[in-house]
Amino acid sequence: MCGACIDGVLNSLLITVPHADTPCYILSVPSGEIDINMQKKRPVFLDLLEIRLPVMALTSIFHRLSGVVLVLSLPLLVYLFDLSLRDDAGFSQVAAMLRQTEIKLLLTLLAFAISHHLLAGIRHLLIDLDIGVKRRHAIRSAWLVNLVGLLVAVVLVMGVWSCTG
Amino acid sequence: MVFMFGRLVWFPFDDAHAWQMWLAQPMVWIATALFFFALLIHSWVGMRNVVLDYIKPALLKLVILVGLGTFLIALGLWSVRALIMVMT
Repeated sequence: MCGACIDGVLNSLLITVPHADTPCYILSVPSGEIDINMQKKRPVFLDLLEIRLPVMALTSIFHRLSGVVLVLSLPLLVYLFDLSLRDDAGFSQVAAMLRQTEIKLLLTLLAFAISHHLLAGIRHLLIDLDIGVKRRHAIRSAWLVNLVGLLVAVVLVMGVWSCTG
Repeated sequence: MVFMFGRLVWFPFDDAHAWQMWLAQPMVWIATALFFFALLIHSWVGMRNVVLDYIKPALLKLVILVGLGTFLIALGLWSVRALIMVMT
């Protein structure tokens, strides 16, 4: 990656996003909206461990990340759906696949992705309806989404591993 | 879909026939078809937003979006084929 790009990404983390009172932080800011002079005065932390993101930013990023992961998993899921409906052989083939450790590990990942994605999506919809827009509430709901998302995922994962197909 | 997931988890189907019969019920079939439709539309909207945010060069953006569209339409046709197979 070019140096300018890295600078750009780091700067976009540190500058204040316009309309910062709405809890939607994403790792990209339209360059037109950045005041160049302001940007130069800002300290730039190159140490990744020093960068602290608001919890809303984490929720938002995980929402995107989990969404992309889920889309990438669609071919496998449609394949399993199709194969399981085809005939007896296909059905038992899918049942056997679901007993494999590799598939279970993948389903574990997808369980974390779907539970976080679903809850974060509901949070975003509520915020679109002007519910929980205040910074205080947004922080609380972001934590809630992250934690409950993990909790729901753990329940799903237990289902995945206890199910013998 | 929560209903479908729950049905699968708590009362797993023993064989292909039972699974096909269950899915062939009109309400279950329609709900499943709608689910696939909504899921793929949502995939398009979400991935489109991600691509538009992070990919800057216009041509690359176009290529990726066309590829994404093709990918999702193919998945849609595939699931339609599976669903039609259940009915017939």
